[in-house]
Amino acid sequence: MDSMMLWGLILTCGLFTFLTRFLPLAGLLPEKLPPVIERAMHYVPVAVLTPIIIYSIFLPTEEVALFNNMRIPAALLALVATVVTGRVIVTIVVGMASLWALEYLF
Amino acid sequence: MLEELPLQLGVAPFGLVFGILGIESGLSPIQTICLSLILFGGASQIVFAQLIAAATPFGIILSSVTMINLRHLLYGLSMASYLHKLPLYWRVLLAYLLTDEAYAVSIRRFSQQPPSRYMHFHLLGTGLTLHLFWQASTIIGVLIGQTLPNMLSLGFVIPLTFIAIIAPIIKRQSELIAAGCATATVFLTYELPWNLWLILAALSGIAGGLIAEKLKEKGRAG
Repeated sequence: MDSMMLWGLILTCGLFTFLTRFLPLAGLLPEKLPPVIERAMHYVPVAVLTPIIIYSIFLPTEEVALFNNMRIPAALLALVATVVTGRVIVTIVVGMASLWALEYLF
Repeated sequence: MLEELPLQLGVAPFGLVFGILGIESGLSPIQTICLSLILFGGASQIVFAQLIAAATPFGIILSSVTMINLRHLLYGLSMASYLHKLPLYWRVLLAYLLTDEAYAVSIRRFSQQPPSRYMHFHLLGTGLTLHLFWQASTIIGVLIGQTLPNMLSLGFVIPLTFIAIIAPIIKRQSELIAAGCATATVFLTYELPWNLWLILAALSGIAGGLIAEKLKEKGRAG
């Protein structure tokens, strides 16, 4: 993507994102969304972020890597850290430290 | 789930991470900083950077970013009754500042305390504070990103950050099923062109969650 196109994309994404914030306040939407839409939105964070997690861990080079892939144990350790502490920064530190240590050791 | 999402996000480390990743993904420093200024939405910016790094077409990036940010509609709708009488410029400004964190803090103030003529200043204050932190941490991240060597596997911070966000919000069976459907779809579709796997996995996750919810309701009713 060339630089002009990239700027165009940044601005268009910005406009669409602003609309998601502004339309309800502009009074242009019904006061309540259809229940099925509201329910669907409940799953958006999990449905969008999970595939990115899975892709980044299992397909670091756009190929499935199940063996000799230290991202898998490192991510599991980070998951444990999240469940125990619930803090983003601890998850990042544990995950990165595990990855560096495991890649150095094996 | 939507109410708990924001509390899991530490704004400053997240902004720092985005700044570093923006540079790693090939965006220029100015583009990275402008993304924070224009989008002002952490998860969507990280997805933007990741998809740019993977040479994804315009339309796929735009729809991914918009899908992630659709949750703002819910925030806006639940705030609308408190804010709809304000002049247009106020609503434009407050809409721009409406984030997970600002929503979480301000809706508590709006719904728990008696309404006052100046209560929207609460959202303005929260929003501006978060905005300042977000821009400052992005800039620091950009500066760090330009000096760090590439061999540190810093891209791994993306899945780590997202694990920290979604692990605490997967509580019900239907949410787990949504995550499972999305995961399976990644492995089935990763070879398709244009990084279609992300959109397809997201749609299958949403569908999986909705169907699981429906089936459970039916089970309870019958």
